[in-house]
Amino acid sequence: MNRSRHHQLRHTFGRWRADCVLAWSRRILLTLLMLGPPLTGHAQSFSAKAEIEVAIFLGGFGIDMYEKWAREYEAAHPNVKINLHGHPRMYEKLLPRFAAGMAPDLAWPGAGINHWALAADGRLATWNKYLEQPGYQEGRTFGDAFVPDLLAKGAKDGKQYVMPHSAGAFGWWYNRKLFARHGWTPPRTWDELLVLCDKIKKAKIAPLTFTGRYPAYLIRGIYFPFVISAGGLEVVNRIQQLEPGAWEHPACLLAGERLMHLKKAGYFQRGCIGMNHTESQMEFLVEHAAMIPNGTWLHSEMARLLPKDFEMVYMNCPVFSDGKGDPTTMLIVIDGQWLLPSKGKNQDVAADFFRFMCAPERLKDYMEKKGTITALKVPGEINAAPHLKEVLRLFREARQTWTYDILDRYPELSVDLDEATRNLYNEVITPAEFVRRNEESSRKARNSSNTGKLSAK
Amino acid sequence: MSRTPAAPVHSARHRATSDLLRPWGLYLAFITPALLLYGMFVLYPMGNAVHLSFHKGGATTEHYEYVGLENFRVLMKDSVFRLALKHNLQLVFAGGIATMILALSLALALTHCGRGRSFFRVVFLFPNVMAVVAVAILWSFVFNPSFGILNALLDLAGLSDYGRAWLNEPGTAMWSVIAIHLWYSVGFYVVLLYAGLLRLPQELLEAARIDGANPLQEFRHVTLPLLSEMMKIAVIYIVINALNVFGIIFLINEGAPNRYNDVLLTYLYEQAFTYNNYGYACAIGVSMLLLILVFAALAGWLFGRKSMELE
Repeated sequence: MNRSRHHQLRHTFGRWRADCVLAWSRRILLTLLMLGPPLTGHAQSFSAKAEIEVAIFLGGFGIDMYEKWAREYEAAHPNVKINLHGHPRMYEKLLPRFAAGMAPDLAWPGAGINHWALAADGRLATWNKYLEQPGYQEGRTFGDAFVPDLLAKGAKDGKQYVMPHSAGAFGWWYNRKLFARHGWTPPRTWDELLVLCDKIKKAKIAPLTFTGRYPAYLIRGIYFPFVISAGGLEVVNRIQQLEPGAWEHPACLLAGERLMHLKKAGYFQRGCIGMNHTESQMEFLVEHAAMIPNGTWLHSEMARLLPKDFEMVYMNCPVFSDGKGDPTTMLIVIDGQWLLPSKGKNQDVAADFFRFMCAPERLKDYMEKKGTITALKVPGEINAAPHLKEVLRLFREARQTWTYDILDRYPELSVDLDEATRNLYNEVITPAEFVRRNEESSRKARNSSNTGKLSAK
Repeated sequence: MSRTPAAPVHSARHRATSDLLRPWGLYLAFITPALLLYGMFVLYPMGNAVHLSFHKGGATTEHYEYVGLENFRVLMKDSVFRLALKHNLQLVFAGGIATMILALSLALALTHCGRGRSFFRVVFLFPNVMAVVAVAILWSFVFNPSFGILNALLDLAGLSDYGRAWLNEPGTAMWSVIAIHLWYSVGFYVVLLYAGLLRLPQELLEAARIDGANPLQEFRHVTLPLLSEMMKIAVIYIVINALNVFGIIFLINEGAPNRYNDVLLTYLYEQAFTYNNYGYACAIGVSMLLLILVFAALAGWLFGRKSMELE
C-alpha cells in the first residue's frame, strides 16, 4: 500500500468515523428526545407512527371530554392516532382481554375490576418513571401535580399501578329551594338533624333517601362519617388498614346505633334499601326525599332531569357536637383510576396522553364543565358551576380528607360489609352484631392474598 | 363332499364385514363434526373446569397453583355457599312443587277447555319464550320500591304499611325470586304435561269410567301413573333449571351480590369475576354438577319405579 493510498484511506476512514460519530450522536439524541423526559411538560414528540387504544368507563360524567382531548392530542401529534371508546361495564369487557394479554394501551375500567389482582399477576405496568418526568409547572415533576394522599392510593410497595384523575366529594345534598320554601336550614349537628328530620317528616316528605341496593352509599355517606365524628379519622384509618380490633372502637358501635335511630324514627324513605342510584336520585329530584348522601357526579348524572325549581347544594354529613372528629373532614372519591397494561404496545404514548389529560387548562375545563374536582392540584381560579361552589368552599376549609378504600382494596370485605350493612338496616342484626361481624370479615380479609392491603401511615 | 372354495368364503366374509362397517362409516362421517364440536365446546371446558377446581388462580394468573382438595374443603365450611345452596333448594322444592301443581292444573284445564285452547297454550308459553332480560326488567318494575306496581296497589288498597323493598328485604327477597321463576317457567311444563295428557290411551280412561271411577279416582289411579314418564322428564327439567338459575337473579340485583337471594351460580360468578378466584369458582361449578347428577338419579329412581309402558 503506497503512502497516498494510505493517506486516502485514513482520510476516508476518518471521515467515515466522523460521519459515524455524528450519525450515532444524532440517533442517541433523537432516542433521548423520544424516550427520555421531555424538556417541557407540554409536548413530547413521537417520530414513529403510533396507534393507541384507550378504554374508558362510561359513567355519570360521560366520555366527551376525553374524546375532545384525544382529538387535540392527535392534532398536536400527527403521528399518533387514538382509538377511544367507553362502556358502562368496561371492567367486564376488559378482564378477558387482560387475561389474553390483549389489553388496551390505556384503561380506566371502572370500579368493578380488582386492580391489585391484576398488579399481582403482572398485568399492569408501573407509572413510576413517568411520575419523574417534568410537570406542567416550572421545576416540578409530573408526580408533584397530584394531591399526595390521592396519588398514594394507587401505589403498593412503592410501585404506582393506578393513576387518579377525576375525583369527587361525597357528602349530603339538599334542594335549597325546597328548604327555603319550608323555612328549613341545613343541619350541621346530630341534634339539628333530628329536629329538622322531624319537621320534614311532618311535611309528608321523607327526610333521607339513599342508594340502598349498593349499601356502600350508606357506609360512605352516613355510617363512616358518624364513626369519624364520634372517634376521629384514625378509627376509619385503622379499619381500612385491617388492624385487629379496629371495629371494636366504641365509635363503631355508636355510629351503628345512631344510624338505626334514624331508621327506627322513620327518617329514611320507605323502600330505599331496594333503590338503585338513579331511582334514589330521582326520588330526591321529585322531592319525595329532602336529603341524599351522594357524590359530586350526582348533578352531572341527573342534569337532564333536573327540575327548573331545583338548586342542588352540597353539605357535609352532620356531626356529633361532643364527638372527637374534625367537623371539616371530607370524603374524597377517586373517580377515574387509570391503568397502563403491561402488554400495551405503546406505553410511552399512552402515558404521554394521560399526562396531556392532566394539563391544568384541561383539568380546569373538566371541573367547570363536569362540575367536579380532580385528584390533581389545579392552579388559578375556577369558574365553578353553582352546585360545585359549596363543594370547593368546604374542600378548601377541610383540615383533613379521607378516601373509602375498602371497595377498591378488599373486594371480599367490601361485599361482606355491604351485606352486614343491609342486615343492620333491615334489623336482621343489631349494631353490636354488625360490629362483631365486621371485625370477623376484617380478619378474613387480612388473611386473604387477594387484597391490595394498605400499609399503616 | 365338495369343499367350498376358500376365496369365495373370504370374499363373502369380507363383504359381510364391509356391509357391517359401511353404515358405521357413514354414521361416523355424520356424527364426527357434532362430536368434535361437543368435545371442543362442552367436554373440554367441563374437563378444564374440573381440572381448575383443584387449583388456585384467577383470570389473569399465568401459572395456577395445585392445591388438591383445598377448594372443596373451604367450600364445605363456606357459609355463603351453604346459603346459596339453601336458596337453590328452595327453588327446587318450593318452586318445583308449585310449578308442578300449577302446570298440571293448567294442563288438565287445557284438555277440558273447548274453545280457545290454542290461545291459552300460547298465553301460558309466552313468558317462557321471552328473553330473560325482559323478564327481569318487567318484574323489577313490579317489585320496585319507588314506582313498582305492587307497592302502588298496596297504597291504593290502603295497605301502605305493607309496602317494602321486595327484592332487598330478608323476608321477601327469595320468595319474590321464586314467584318470578314460577311465572317464567311454568308455561313450558304446561305444554309438556299437556302433550303427555294427549298421549294417554282413551280406552283406559273410558274403562275406568265404566268401572265407576269418579274424576278424582280416575286422575289418581289412571292419569297420574300413565303420566309419570312425562312427569319424570318435567321434574328433571325443573331441578336442572332451579339449580342453573342465574340470569333473573343477576339482573334483578344489577350484578351486585345480595345474600337474600344469591344462588350458587351468582356466587360462582362473584367468586370468579369479583374476587378473581377461578379455582374456587370451578369448585362451586363441579359441586353443582354433582348435585344435578344426584337429583337426576333420584328423579329417575322415584318415577322409574312407577312408570308404565303405554304400548
